[in-house]
Amino acid sequence: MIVPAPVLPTTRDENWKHAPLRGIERLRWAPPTALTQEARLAATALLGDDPPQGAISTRIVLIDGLHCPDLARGPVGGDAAGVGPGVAFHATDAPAQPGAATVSIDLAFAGLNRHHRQGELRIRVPDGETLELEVVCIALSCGHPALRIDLGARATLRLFERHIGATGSLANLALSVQLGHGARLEHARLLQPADGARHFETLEAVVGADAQHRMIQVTSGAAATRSTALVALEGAGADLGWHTAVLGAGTQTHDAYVRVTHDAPAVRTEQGFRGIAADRSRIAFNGHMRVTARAPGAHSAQTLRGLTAGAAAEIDLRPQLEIDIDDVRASHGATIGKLDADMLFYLLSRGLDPATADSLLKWAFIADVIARLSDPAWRSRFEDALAPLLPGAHAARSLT
Amino acid sequence: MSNDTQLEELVSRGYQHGFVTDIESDSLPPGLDEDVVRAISRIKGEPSFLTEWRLKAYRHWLTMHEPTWAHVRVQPIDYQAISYYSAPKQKTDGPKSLDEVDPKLLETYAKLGVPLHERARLAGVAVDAVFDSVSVATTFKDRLHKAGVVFCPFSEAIHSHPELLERYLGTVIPHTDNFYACLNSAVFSDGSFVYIPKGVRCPMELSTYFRINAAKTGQFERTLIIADEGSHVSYLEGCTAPMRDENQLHAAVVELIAEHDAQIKYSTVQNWYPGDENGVGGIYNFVTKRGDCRGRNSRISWTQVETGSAITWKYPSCVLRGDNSVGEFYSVALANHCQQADTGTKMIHIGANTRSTIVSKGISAGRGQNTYRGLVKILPTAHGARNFTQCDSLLMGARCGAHTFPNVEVRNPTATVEHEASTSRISEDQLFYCLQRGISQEDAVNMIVNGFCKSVFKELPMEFAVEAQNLLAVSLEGAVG
Repeated sequence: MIVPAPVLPTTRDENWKHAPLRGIERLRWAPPTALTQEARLAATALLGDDPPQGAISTRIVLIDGLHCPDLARGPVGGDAAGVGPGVAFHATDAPAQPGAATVSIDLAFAGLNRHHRQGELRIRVPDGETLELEVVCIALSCGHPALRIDLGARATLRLFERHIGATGSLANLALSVQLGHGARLEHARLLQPADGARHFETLEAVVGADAQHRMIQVTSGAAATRSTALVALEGAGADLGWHTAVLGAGTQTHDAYVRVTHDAPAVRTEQGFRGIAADRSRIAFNGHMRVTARAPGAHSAQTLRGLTAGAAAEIDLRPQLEIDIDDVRASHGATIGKLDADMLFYLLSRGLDPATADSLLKWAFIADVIARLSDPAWRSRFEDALAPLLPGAHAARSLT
Repeated sequence: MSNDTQLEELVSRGYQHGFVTDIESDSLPPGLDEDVVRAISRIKGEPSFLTEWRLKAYRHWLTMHEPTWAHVRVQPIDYQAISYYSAPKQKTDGPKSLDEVDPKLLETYAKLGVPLHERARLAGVAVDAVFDSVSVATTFKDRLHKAGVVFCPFSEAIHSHPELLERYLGTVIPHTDNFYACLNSAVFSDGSFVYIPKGVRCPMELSTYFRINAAKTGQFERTLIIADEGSHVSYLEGCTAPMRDENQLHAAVVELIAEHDAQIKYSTVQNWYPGDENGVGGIYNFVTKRGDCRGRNSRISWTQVETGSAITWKYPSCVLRGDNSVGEFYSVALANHCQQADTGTKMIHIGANTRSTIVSKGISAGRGQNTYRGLVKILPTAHGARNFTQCDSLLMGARCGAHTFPNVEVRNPTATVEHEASTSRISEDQLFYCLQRGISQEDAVNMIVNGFCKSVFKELPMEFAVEAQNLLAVSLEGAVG
């Protein structure tokens, strides 16, 4: 299918100038209409030796945006996902027109998702309840997975989200989050599509009063990833922690745009980014903090760090502040550089070979993000996923 | 007079350069087409290469659109309602010396505190004064000539040094650069030209004072400074305009070129009329400034204090082409009442071991909107490049805004880039300390603001630093309490 050109952003659009957009209008955007046995087998192979010990007992798997009950895990219930009454996969009746609901170019891919999606996974946690869940999205050809998370007052959700994809696959995820009064979302995201895959995603979140949203995300693999996140802190005392690590290699491009709107009194944001660009890869991160006149007492802190580890690698950082009130404390810092020569020398002088020393220092660089995972089992899964990318760094695992 | 009385007078006075000089002037009628461009060129007696260059720029401008990405709200500008040339009426031969300059003009500059006469000797500063579209007086020409320094109006340089103009004009900011630079290339009327020969250290500070006087005109001056190998120059720029209810356009272009081992220090205290407290009137200050460090070990330093203008759109930049070259940008930008400032810098690192420093201080008060917009770009050839950026904003009032949009792009693994920024209001602890020591709230705020800007003020030549501090105090009048 040829996508209407006006729907898609171009590199002339300010927030998209780093994303690899060439030829996207020619990609095959239409997903398969049904899951075949072949697809189930391929997805099983990609999942690998799951689950690890101590992992989450409840799992939902979407293949190219379609629910696959065969690969689900956990208690059997009467609903589509087999998890509980609050979790269900709803098939889409009629697709939205492309771009019909698009209000800005940042939501262009969300509009495409709405048009192509074949269903939506809805996760609703009632007031005061707690749920732990793993969602795996597998892209085999082309998929538009859609997730909607709705937490009631004082509800807690611990969500482990994985994205894997076959070579050449295309995924276009839409994720919406609504956190009620005093709710808490612990959100760990591991994005590891295969080389040559493309991954686009649009995250929209509204955080209510005294609610907490903790996001830890690690991205590696794929030919190109583009992540757009629009977060609104709309309730007084809302609290956001957003920490991301990206490892680029080969000719990969990883581009992220996170806009946080502080729109209520005494809201807080802490944002961290770590990017390692090796070989000829390119990493871009645009962190846009807005504080409106309705947010007295807001506090925003941003720390963005990039490590250039390839002769032709590139890192672009854009820490942005847009503030319309004086009762605010906002700061940001951004650094880009190479590995510290003194640290490298120290490790070499202790007898480590150069490759191991290099891996250890890179591990330490991103450990700041992974160490924020409070659950040791989740941390271990992130470390397992990253170990092949940083060979020799296993010695440092116990330190994080 | 006691210090307190002086300060009180200072704080209680408004925009003091808002008077109009009643002087006869020659103006072109409002409107812009190729005939107007040719007419300006003809008035200036320009060679054909320059007329053609202007026309090429004008034709390109017709294909361009006003930029909309800046964080400012601009009332639509009717470019056909502006007169693109206005000059004080002169005797047929023009003034041979300051004694022949219209006394009203000299009186104007005296009111502005610009040293054109004997005070110039005391100040030791050579001044070029630009009134509307033309340069009216340049001091210390002989002394500079002895040192080999060329410091003259742009329109004079067209005749005295056409070879330098043809070689350098538009090489740093081509006419295709942006909408306003393109407009300037088509209609620029005058400005300053500076050439410092090889190995010469300019014996004094050079200064240009720009004044918009006539109504319904725009000012489109162009400054070109060339520092040849091993030379050094410090250049100061100041500007004012009358108080009017209309918005007037100022679209200038400044090009700096530093060859091997050369240094250029460019300082600006910008005090165009900012409009009244309701945002009526004021200058639209849309300026393109760029320096090209072409030679090894060259250095270009921009220091600016921006207190005036209704809207400022200005990004003095450095292209660090030569190995070991250095670029610096120190800025204080104040937006009070309804002023809007979108200003910052670009540092483009191309040569090896190039270094850049950016220190930006933004102050927002009233309903003012202050934006820092920056780009640090390290290209693959810039081995060992370094940048440090510090960008702080101070907010005074619940209805003002402070915005920071830095861009860091690194394409060389040996480069090191550091950026830090903070936004906050005046510390209540600091204010309380000053008040309990008997200092009034307004004085306390001025002291704290001056401390906030200290790292930029220390980069200014001394006379300008004092003027800048005074300007800040005046501009902040009414922002407290």
